[in-house]
Amino acid sequence: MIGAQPNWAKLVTQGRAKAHGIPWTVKESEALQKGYTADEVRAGIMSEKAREEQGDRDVANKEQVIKEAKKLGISFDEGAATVGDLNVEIQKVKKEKAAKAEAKKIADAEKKNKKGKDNK
Amino acid sequence: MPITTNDFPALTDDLQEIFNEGAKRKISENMGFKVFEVLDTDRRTFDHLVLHGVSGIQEVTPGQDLPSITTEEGDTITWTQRYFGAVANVTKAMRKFDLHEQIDDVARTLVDDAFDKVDQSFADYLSQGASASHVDVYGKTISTVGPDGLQLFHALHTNPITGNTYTNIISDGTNDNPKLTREAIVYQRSLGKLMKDPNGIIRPVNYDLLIVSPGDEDLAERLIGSEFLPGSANNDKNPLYKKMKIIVWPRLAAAADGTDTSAYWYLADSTGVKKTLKSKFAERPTLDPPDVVYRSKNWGFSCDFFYTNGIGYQQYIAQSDATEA
Repeated sequence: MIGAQPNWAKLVTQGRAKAHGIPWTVKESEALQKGYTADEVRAGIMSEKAREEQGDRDVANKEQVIKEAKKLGISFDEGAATVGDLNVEIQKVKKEKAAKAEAKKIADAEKKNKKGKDNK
Repeated sequence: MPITTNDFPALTDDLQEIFNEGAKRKISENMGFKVFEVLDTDRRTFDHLVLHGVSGIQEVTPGQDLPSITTEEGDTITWTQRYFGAVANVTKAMRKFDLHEQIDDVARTLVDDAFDKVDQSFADYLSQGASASHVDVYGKTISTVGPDGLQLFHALHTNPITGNTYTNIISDGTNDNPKLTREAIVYQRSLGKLMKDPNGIIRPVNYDLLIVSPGDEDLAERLIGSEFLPGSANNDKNPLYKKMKIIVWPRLAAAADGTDTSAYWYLADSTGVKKTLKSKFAERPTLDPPDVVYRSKNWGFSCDFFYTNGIGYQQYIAQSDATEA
């Protein structure tokens, strides 16, 4: 859109704009004034009810993440580990496993090739 | 009547005289030039800084370093020049048959169109000021936010230093967006005088300008222009008399997209509003003669200009859309 360009990057960082080029609506500004964080308002949380529901979703999300971490064999302290920490560990383990699987695939293919040549 | 290229300078002089006369008339008639700060610039993109009031001045011991003021305490905004123009054709037939009235009208229409559209573009910044964007008189959707990323009129304008906010939606103490009444003017004027900067220092806004569309002209005159209070028991003195001025701006009655905004009214600080409403011309409208005479034998006189409008510190003008909500 043409026209005025405020420093959107700064405004977004300071929680004074919803996103680059998108100002807060009046309703969203009011929610910010009531103490909801910029991230909450960006996620559509502008009431206590919505905040509680989001909290429940976070709990459900944590249970799921813990289950997945255990399945991957990650050792951690359930009380101390945050969802964010666990997600990082899960991604790391998944990446390592994928790399190992890829290496095994290549090794197997090489073995197969060698076997084929020997038979000739 | 000029027919050949030898006569070209004479016609050019004639048309430029018509154009200049029309431009002068329009500048004096169009209210936007009275409300906006209209300045010239050489820059294609104009960077504007708004400092909301800094915490700089402090008591210092002689010999001590003076505290610094930084632009971090303010907000910036960039406006980019836009280019506009049109060509008025003086045809061979107009010249040959001495149709001077037609030629005159072509030049007058061009100058009127240029200045009327500039003025409508100014007016739309006010009448569409409750939105972050609008379709302007040239048919383009433009972003019209201010340096704080919010539209001109907003109940919760922000600053980068503190969580303090301010509103520039007119209130009568009970409702936002009241109808035009004496009570609303008095209440908003008192609010303006107690405006605080983000650091909590009172920086009064003196709402001494009432801006209305023609539908409210009569009421505005009764509220401001009368020496006494109409209908009061003892014919009391009107405290607003001579303290305020009225601007009746016809183009505020409807936005360029057709929205009826005739009930909207505005209070502004006649000095401060120039910090809020800005217009930068890289080239003002002029009538230029053609460089070459075309095969059509039309002489195309062009009118073109570069300008951009923008919003600075929104505090100095307030709006009511008269919806009482």
